[in-house]
Amino acid sequence: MNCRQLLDALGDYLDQEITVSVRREIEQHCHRCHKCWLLLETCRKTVAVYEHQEPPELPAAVHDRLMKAVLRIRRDIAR
Amino acid sequence: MTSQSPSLPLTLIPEAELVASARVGDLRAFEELVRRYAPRILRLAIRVVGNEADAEDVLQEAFLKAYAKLEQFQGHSSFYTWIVRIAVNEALMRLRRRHGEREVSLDQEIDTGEDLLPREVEDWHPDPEQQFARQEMHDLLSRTIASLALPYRLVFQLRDVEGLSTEETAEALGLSIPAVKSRLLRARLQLREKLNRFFRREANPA
Ligand SMILES: [Zn+2]
Repeated sequence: MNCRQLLDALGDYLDQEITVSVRREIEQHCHRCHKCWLLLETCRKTVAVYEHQEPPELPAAVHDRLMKAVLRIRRDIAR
Repeated sequence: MTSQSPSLPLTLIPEAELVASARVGDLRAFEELVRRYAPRILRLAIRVVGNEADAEDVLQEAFLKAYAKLEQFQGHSSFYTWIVRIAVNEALMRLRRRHGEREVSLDQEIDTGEDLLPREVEDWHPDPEQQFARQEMHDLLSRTIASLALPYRLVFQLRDVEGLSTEETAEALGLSIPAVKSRLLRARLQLREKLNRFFRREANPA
């Protein structure tokens, strides 16, 4: 496996959707190629920092406006 | 409350039970679904339409549509995946009204022919999240994702932030599975490149 082939397999590697043998080839390449090892690690961290982000709280006014509108719709449906 | 577990606090009731209760008119059950998912849907909407006011309208429309269509919700997917799909459609409709159909196309060929091979590959802090205050980190990630072109931004948001599967993302955006995969890889590589100068070991936290 060379750097270009590693790049082609990178997405599936990050999603853990690769076969054991491809994973082994990637790991062997990374033993020899520090740049690809860094690429793998930093890509993994990129996904992780986004994954870990909690969304900000919903403003109370937005919640209230929505629930009032739901109540109106509910009345219309019941009618 | 028609739930099978009446003694459980609302926050612990499984999603499917909340949907079943909401469907037969339990407003508190629907409100719990709003509590659970509206913050994520608002963030998603902001990332698509680009501003808070429009995003709040998208959120409202999406949940109202979901409420009106609860009868039709089949439960093949989770309620969460379903509301994400409704919100994405709503947000794209709004963007198209503002910018025109062609500018907001998701299936356009966006391959710019540039090489995917990354330029700067440097060592990062072992735990970049520790380097920034919560709000700082939130702003940094929001700014970074906002700078991606819409097709990349949407695929990344649905796959890596909202946690939809490749198949669910393809369905929500009307893309093929290979298109989702190639867009996702490009999005991840672009974000990695943009975050590099903040997260590399030598960087001074802003
Ligand atoms: Zn390499």
